Amino acid sequence: MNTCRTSLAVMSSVIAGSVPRMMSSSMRAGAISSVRGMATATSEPARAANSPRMKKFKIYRWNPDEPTSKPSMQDFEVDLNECGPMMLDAIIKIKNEQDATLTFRRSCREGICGSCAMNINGTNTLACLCRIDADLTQTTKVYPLPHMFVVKDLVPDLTQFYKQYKSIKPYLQRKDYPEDGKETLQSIEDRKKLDGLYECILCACCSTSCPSYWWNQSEYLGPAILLQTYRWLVDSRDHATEERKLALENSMSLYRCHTIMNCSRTCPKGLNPGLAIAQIKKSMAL
Amino acid sequence: MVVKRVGRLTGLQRDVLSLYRSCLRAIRKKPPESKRNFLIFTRRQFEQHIDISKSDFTTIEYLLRKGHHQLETFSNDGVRNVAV
Repeated sequence: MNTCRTSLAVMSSVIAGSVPRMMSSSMRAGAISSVRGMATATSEPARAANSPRMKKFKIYRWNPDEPTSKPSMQDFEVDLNECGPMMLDAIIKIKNEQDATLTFRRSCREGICGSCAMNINGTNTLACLCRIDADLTQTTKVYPLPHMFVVKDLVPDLTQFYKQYKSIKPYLQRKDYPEDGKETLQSIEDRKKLDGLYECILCACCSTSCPSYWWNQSEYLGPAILLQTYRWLVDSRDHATEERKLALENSMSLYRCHTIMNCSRTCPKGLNPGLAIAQIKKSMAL
Repeated sequence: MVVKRVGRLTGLQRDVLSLYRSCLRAIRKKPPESKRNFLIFTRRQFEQHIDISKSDFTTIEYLLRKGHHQLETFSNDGVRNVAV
C-alpha cells in the first residue's frame, strides 16, 4: 500500500487530470478523488451545487426569405450543465429550446460524415468534434465556412466544391480487369500509401481555410480535392495516372498552392493535404 | 428593380434581363400544356423582388445567382410541369 501511495503522489504532482486506467479497483476511489481534488478544485462543487453554468454564443444569422436584410450575429446563452460537451450539442439545444429557425447541417454527430463543418472561434472544424470551451467569460463565435456563399444561417453553398470533386474523376480507371473476375489485388505496401488519404470525409474545412482558394475558387481545386487527386494518383490499382497528371498541367488547378498550410492545420480528421499537394508537385516535376 | 429609362441599361440590369431571356428560351423547350405554368412561375419569381433598389448590389447579385441555379435545375428535361 505504501509503495502505491508514493507512486500516486508522484503521479498527481506530475500530471494534473490524466489518470491512468490501469489502477486496481481498490485504489481507484481514493486515487481518483485525490487526483481530482488537486487538479480541478471547482468542478466537483459546481456539479454538486447544480448552479447553472451559462455560456454565451454568438451565431451568424441570415434569412434568404428577406434577401435585402444584412447578415447579423445573434446572442444565445446555454447552461452547460444541461448540455453535451460538443458545439453541435449546444447548437441543437439552441434550436430545440430557443430559436427553431436556426439552420445548420448535421448528420452523424461523430465526426465521420462532414456535414457540420463550420467556423468556430476562427477555426474551421466539425461542430460535433469541437468541445465547448468551458471558460464562461468568453463568448464563442460561430460562423459558416469562410468565403463561401451562404444558403441560410450556417449552411454554405458547396455545389462548386462538389463539381470540382467530380472533375477529377474520383473513381478507379483501368484498361483491363483480372481474368478470374475477382478483386484487383494490391500489395500491403501499396495499400499503406493510401493511409492518410482515404480517410478524407470531404467536409471542406481545409479548402475553405485556404486564402488561395478564397481568391481563385473557380479555377484552383483546393486542398481537399487535391488530396483526393493524390489518393488516386498513388493508388497502384489505377491505370489513368498519366491522364490525371495531364489534367493538372496548367497554372491554376494545382499551382495556386503557395504552401500556406492552413489546410493541414485545420483538418478536423488530422490529415495532411499540404503534404499531399507537395507530393503531387514532386511527381509532376519528375 | 423597375427599369424606368430603357435607353441606358446598367450592367446589372442587363444581367437580369439576360437571365429572364434565358428562362423564356428554356420555357420554349417545355411540353406545350405546361408552358403557361412555367411562364407564370417565372414571372412571379421576378416580380417578387421588383421593388429592390437598383443600387442594392449584394441582394441583386444574390438573386441572380439563385435565379441561374434554379434555371439550371428547371432546364432539366425531366421537369415537365410546375405548380402555380
